[in-house]
Amino acid sequence: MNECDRFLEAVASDRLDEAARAHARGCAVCGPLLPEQPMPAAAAGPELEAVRNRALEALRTTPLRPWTQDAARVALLQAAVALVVTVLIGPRNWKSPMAHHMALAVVGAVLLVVVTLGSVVALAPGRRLPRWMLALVPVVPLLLVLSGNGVHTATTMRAALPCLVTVVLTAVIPLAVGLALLRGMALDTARTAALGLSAGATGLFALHWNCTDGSASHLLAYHALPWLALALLAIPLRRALSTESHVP
Amino acid sequence: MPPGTTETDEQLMERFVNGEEQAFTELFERHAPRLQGTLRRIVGSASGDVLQTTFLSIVRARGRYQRGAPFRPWLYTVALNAARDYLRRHRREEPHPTDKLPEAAAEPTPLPDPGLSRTVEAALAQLPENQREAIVLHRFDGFSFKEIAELLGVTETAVKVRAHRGYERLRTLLASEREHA
Repeated sequence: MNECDRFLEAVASDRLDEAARAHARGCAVCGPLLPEQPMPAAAAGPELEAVRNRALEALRTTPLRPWTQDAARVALLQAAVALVVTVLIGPRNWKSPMAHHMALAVVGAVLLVVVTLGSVVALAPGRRLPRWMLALVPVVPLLLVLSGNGVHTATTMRAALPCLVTVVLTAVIPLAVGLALLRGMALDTARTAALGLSAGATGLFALHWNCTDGSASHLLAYHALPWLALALLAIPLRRALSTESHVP
Repeated sequence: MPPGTTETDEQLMERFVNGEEQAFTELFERHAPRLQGTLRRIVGSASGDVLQTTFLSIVRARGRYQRGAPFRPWLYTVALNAARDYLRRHRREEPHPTDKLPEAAAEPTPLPDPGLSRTVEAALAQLPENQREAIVLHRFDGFSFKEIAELLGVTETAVKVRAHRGYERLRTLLASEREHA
């Protein structure tokens, strides 16, 4: 290993010692790679002045919008959609003599948390918090199966398909509103998927009280799968939209 | 304490979030020139546009700033997001650079950066985007690998691998350039 190699190892591992620096100062190839000390700010040139003036103009015309306000609106919208669809399609499963009421109530409460608090977590600033939502991917299908009564009633695709359609249609408005809000923050695949999971859970919640088919195969194929597909679909949809702000 | 002299970035940001123009101007003057240099090394001649997008982003979404959070890494995260978005949208229009160094890169904006070498800038332009980001932030902006990992949302090991490969490629390009000179 020659001096140049030693310098490269040092600079690329943040362990620059004085010997490595001294070599770089005298080496025409390694010299330009030597990290610079941060420079003090200089006065703004004409190009920077134009950028600053444009930003100041935007500051005068753009009111402060705390992220919690948007998140609360989405959470309320999603909760309202979930409850309205539940009422519209009726709680057949809850009234069924085969239903496990305790399990249904617990999983129903979890789904309501995903619908409301999930959207808040998905829209929270920073990168870390929304990623936690992705833990729901295995958890929710598992809970759905555990709360099911095990009875397979929708034996034909024609009988089962309405469940899939309900999950998708119920999520249309929450997903559209969520995607519009996501334009106001940096493109982030995990955040988009997290919001898709929360929006898609509105349909899951309504079906949870309505669908009397409690078999694992039905719950996974016609409830959980479209829910996951919606979250995945949200990603290319978000990428196709322009970004208004790149703040994380 | 007279405003705009000894306040920290975070104190200024708090005032800016509440709509104080003076606080914004102070933050802009502290960070914009250097940030423009960083962006120039990542997106080339579009640095002015990306810088504008960056500051418009923080004005529009200032409600997403978490009070007390370190301002400079936050600003650089926004700028890198804007740069990546720009590169993503323009990737199809601009062919990937070849191994040969360009004759002349876009004219750099005059900056207080005496060590800046046009050859290094041209060589930097030949690196893949993720290696270029790691090197620019490390070599020119003085961020540690740990800080860069936070900015980019990746692990510190990933940043070190990118930087190592980038520095290695940069050295090869610079050595080859010297041989031809």
